[in-house]
Formats: sequence, C-alpha cells, structure tokens
Amino acid sequence: MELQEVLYQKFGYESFRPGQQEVITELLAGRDAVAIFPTGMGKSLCYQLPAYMLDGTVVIISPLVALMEDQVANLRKHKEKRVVAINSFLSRQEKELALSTLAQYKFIFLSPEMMMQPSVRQLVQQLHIAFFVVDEAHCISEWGFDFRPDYLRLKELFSDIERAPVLALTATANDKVVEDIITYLHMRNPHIERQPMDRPAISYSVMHLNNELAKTEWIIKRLATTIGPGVIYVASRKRADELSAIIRERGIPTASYHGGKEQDERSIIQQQFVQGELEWICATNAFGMGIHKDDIRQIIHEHLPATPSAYIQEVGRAGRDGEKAAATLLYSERDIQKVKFIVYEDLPDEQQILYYHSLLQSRTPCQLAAEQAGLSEVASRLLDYYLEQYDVENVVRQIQQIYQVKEKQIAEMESYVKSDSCLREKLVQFFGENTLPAETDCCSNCQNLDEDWLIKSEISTEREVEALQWRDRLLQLLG
Amino acid sequence: MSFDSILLTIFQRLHGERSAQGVYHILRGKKSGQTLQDVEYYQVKSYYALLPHLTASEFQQALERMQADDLIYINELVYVTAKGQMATGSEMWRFNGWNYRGLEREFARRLALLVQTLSNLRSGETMFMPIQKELPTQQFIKGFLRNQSSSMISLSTSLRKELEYVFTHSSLSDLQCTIVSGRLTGYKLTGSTWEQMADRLNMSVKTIQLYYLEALHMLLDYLQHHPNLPLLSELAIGCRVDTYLTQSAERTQKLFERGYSVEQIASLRNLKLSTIEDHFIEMAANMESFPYKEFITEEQRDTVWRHVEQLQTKRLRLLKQQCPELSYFQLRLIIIIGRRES
Repeated sequence: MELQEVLYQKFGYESFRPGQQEVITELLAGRDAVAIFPTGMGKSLCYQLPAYMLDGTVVIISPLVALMEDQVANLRKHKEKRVVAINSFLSRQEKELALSTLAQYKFIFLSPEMMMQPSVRQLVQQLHIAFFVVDEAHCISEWGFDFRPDYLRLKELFSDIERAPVLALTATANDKVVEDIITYLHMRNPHIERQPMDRPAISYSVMHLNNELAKTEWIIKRLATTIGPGVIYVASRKRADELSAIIRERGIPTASYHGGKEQDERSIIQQQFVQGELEWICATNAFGMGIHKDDIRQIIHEHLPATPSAYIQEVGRAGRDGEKAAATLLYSERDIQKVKFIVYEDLPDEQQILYYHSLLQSRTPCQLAAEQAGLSEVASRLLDYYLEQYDVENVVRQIQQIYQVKEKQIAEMESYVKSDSCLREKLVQFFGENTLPAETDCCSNCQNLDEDWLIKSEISTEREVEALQWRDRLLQLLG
Repeated sequence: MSFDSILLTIFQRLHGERSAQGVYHILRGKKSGQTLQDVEYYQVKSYYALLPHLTASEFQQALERMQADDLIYINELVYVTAKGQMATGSEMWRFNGWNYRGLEREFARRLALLVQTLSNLRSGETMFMPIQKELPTQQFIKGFLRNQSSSMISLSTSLRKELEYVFTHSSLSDLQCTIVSGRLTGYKLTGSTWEQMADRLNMSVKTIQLYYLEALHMLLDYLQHHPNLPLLSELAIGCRVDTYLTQSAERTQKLFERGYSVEQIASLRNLKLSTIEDHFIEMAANMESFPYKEFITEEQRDTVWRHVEQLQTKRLRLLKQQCPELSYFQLRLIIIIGRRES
C-alpha cells in the first residue's frame, strides 16, 4: 500500500503534516531517525503509521505513565486493540498476564524501569521487533529541561550491532541535546528531522505587573472581556484552586486541574473542557498531556516557567486548529526568585552530597539518609543514580553542571520577560533557530497586536446550565 | 452531614477511652488487631475504612478546628464536650464501611464507565475517551458487555430502569439521587465536578462527598439483598469484602480448626503468643460460630459484663483490677463476644 493510502485508511487524514513523511520513509528503510516536532504537530503518527507497513512489534519507551496511558487510549480510539502498556501501575498479575502474551501485541509501551528489568528485557528481545521508539527523548540528556536519570539506563539497550531501527521523538531539543540523544541511544548516522519551533498562529505578550494582586486583577479583567477556551498556568496546586474559585465567582465556567485531584475528577474536567462546558482551566504543569482540544485560544502564565522548553510546550497547546491564539506571560519582579527557589530545592548542594554519601557509606538506609541530608525525593533519586556511576567528587561536579544548566535556563526566561525586541524571535533563538518577526499579530514588543478577534462579542455569556432532575438526567443519558 | 459530625459520633462512642490516632486508624481501615478490636468494642464498624485516603494533615486540621470550637478536648485521649454532644445531632448514618472498605468506589467507577459506554453506543457514537482510565475497570466493563445478549439500546434502557428502581427503593434521599446521577457522564452530557455540585447545591464539597459515599453503601446494601436487578448486581460483584480476616489470622484459623492450641500455633508459626491471641480476637469478632467457650465460662462472661456496666467502661486495665484471675486475652474475648442474651 502507498503511504498516502494508509494515512487515509487508518487515520483519516488526506495529507501529511510537514516532516512526517520524511521520518516515516527513513524508518521504513530501516534507518534510525530523530524527530523534533513542536507539541501537537503530529509526532505520534511518525511511529503509528509505519507500524502498519512493517511486520513485527513496535516497542515504545515512554517516561511518563500519564503520557503512556494517553497514547494507548488514542490508539484504542482508532480501533487498535493490539496495544498494551506495561508500567509500575500494573498489579503483579496484570503484568504477568501482559508479559506472557507479549507476542500478540502490535504496540508495546514500556516505562524505562520496566524495560531495564532483566526478565522483561529478555522477553522483549525474543520478539520480532519492527523498530523501537524512545518518546520524550530529551529526558535522556542532562542538558534537557526535564532530565530523568532513569532514562540514562537505556544507554546499554541499543548497543547491539544487530538491532531494529530506533526512532527518537521529542518536542524540544537544541543541538547539544540532540547530540546526547544520538550518543546515548547509540544511534547510527540518524536522519534528523527538525520542524520549526515557531507557531505562526500564536502571538506573544509579556505583561509587567507590580505584584500578585495586580496579576489577579489583570486576569479577572481579561477573562471578562476576552474569549476562551483558555488555560491559565499557575505555580502551585493551591493557587490553581484559589484562582479558579475567584474566576468562578465572576460567573465564568472554570475549574482547577492538578495532580492532587482524584482521577475521576480530572476526567470530568478534561471532558467538560473538550466539550466546551468549561471555558477556562487553572492548572499546574500537570495539565496538557492527553488533552485533545484544537481550539484553545489563550494561554496565560501567571508564574514564570523554569525553562524556555517548558514555556514553549505549554504555549504550544493553543491554536492547533491553525486559527489565531494568544499567549500572555504575566511577570512581576519577584518571580525570578520564586522560580529559582523551586528549581534549586531539587538540586543538592556540595555539602548535602558529601553528607548523603557518608551516610550511605556507613550503611544508613537510603530513605533515612535522604531525610537526614535534607534531600527532596527528586534530589535523592538523582544522587542515587549518579553515585552508582561515578565517585563522589565527580558527582559533585555533575550536579554543579546541572545547576549551571538550570541557571542558564532561568536566565533565558529572565531575558525573555525583560527583552524589548521581538519575543517570537527571542524564544526560538533559545532552540538555535531563527525566525523573522511576523508582519501582524507578532508580539507585544513588535507592537502589532490586533486583538479585536479576542474580544467577547456579548457581554453576558452566562450560560446557566439547567440542572436536570435526576430522573430526567438518567433518561437523557440512557434513554 | 459533615465530616465533623461523623468524627463526633465516633469520638462519642469511644469517649475518653481512645486517642485520636485510634480514630484515624478506624477511618483509614488499618488492619491491626487493636483497630479491629476497637471497631467491635465500640460498635463503629460502619465507619471502618470509610475514608481510606484520609490524610494525616486533613485529620489533624479537623481535630484542631473541633478543639477550637470547643467540641472536643484532647488529653492524650479524646473527650467530647457537652457542646460537642449537642452538636453531634441525631442523624442516622447508613454507612457500611465494614463491608465495603473502599471497594464501593470500584462499583462507582464501573457504573460510570458502563453508563458512558451505553449512552454513547445507543447514540451511535463508537469513539469516545473513556471517563475511567483504570485498566481493571475497563476490562471488567468489556467483559460485562461481551456477556450480554440483548442490543445496546435495550441494555441501556434496562440499566436506566434498574437505576431508577434502586434509587427509589433503597431509601436514598432526593439529594443523594441528584448527586449520584450528577456524577455520571454520557453522550453530550458530562458529569459535574464536586465543586460544581457544591455551588449548585450550596453545600460543602466534603459534605456532598460523604452523602455520595453513604449513597453507594446504601445502593450496594440494597443490591446485596435484592438479586432482581441483574445488571447492577453484576456490577457489584467483588465490591463487598468476602474475607474479613487478615491473611495471617486466616492461617491461624486453619490451624485452630485442625485442633492446635493457641500455644501450639504460636510455636508452629514462630509468632509471638500475643499475635496469635490477636488472631483469635479477630476470629471471635468475625465468626458467628466462634467456640469461645473453650476459653471462658458463662459465669466469667456475666461477671465481667456486670463490671462493665458498673464502671461504665470497657478499658481493660480497669476491668483487670476487678477480675485479676482472668487474663487480658480472656477479658478481650468477653468484650468482643458481648454480653449474654438474657
């Protein structure tokens, strides 16, 4: 079958998005590839489509359980039943069942720690594998914005001479990160497909405000006069709840979304947002994955994201339908301090490292040692990994390097909010790209924003959702 | 109904005999001999494992609030003040925590997914994002639907009829019917979040969640005794605790049935005598036919209960002073099996 034909029959699309065909062709020819596509620009299709043109299983290694579940749900939605996710959330029985029937699946999703379990690895190696996919591949690099030590363990996996091709996927990676990905995954002269980070549909603004109160007021006014659907990213769960309550009081359908909410509640909120019953979501960075909504018109950041990558990913959730969308970052002077505090909390300093190490040497249990050294959970996991690999002096050096990376990323964000030149240009430059300011609707510094399209047409949009009597509700649901 | 009033109810039953931590363990459903014994002694089984996810800080906050409001005071043990007694109210909860222990939530998940699936299918929509992400729940519903022979449309109507029937016959309040149905999602009709319900009903989120929980227990209790609702009964399978004994106690029970004594079991299993005694207490609490007469006489039972009434306490240390000839194990046993029917 022709590529185009499969694209239409299996996925219902008439044509490829930029870059997809190139990646797919490489994979089909048995070569490695790195695909760097901005969020929402069709990364997943790069492995889903060739899977149907090749014999054998596709093994996808994915670092986040939520992401994995989302990919699985998406495939199932497209009527693909031969798909399984194996991660630490499975019970022992479920895991055993899945592993004993591994060969019957077309798509196998694995978390890195599962993949590296010798028993699992052995089973996987017995399969006839079409190709491997490493999702969110930037996590393997210390230079990436959410480095995961677990991922480094994959290093050994692809060193075999005779192995199936590897496809590395990521939304953001500068040259340094790409270099790491290629080295660590033992990729052989891979094809690198990089799609521009710039999203022409999105306009950028930075608003300087005096304090948190001013931000709240700005948001209230903004939401009263401009359209959704939109997402407001905030720094903490508590703030998400708080701000959402304030907005709801103004009669605007809003909910908060964060990892602290029970699963049922999160499902309902997602569903309501996708269906248009909710206009705004106040969210922590937990919100985003698994939200398939093309018509998000606004993204507002009430806090300063710690890295340009995080910012561009979150902003990239807007305007996927190609229509105009607005990204606004609210900034006040103390935000830099705040973000530094949050980021450095998870990075141990030299003293902590040495103390933790000495505790471990004297056979103190890991958890206790971490507690005594005042390490956060993330920090102790990071150290555990490094201490396994290097001697303690080198660990100190490594951590200092990470510290410098984080410092640089925060400095980049600082230079972004304080810039007086084109924001669009500035943002993509962090990823080693160049772009020209857009002629219209570029950014607050280009001063060519025409936001008429954003203005709410009717003042009173209060859609009183008629609360159904319970009998009527059951009748409407089930007939 | 509020969280505070539930706490007050429990505190009142345990008045001055247990610490706040003990109540926390009861609500979370801790499987220790002490907690299992407490729920039996003080007749708070219906609150056992009511809130398996209650956090220590949530609980602590409630305690502080209630102390500040002068409803309770804590002096190692928890006492309910006169004001607290007034505030407890006389509402009768119909929780059945003992029998469900958090499993009622699985029933709710299954119901939500089944309603969403049928609602979409009957409207001709075969693609939708499942509202329940848990694999076991999804697998259960898949299996459930595979075993049905009638069409999706008639299945959907039958489910609606069963729901209506059980709502009206299990003495759910109108409010509870609204809450339970309001959480359901279907074709072009999404369920409400707790906050949205709280706004609409003008009540706190916590209160609504407790009414919801009670409603689930009432529905499941009803289904337990009325097998004439085939669809819902099938959804309820496995949502009720079937073995009340901890695994370890079950092993002790097997040995006891084979004729071993308490001491023999302890040495066979290489466990402390007191652990095995805990198991026996657990067995006495859960088995109607527990042969308690092998350990105590009816006279001893009567004597201890007379002291309980006189002293108005079930605290073992005080009872032991009155009946020094009895072991603590015997005293616990007597309290667990209750007084003799007159």
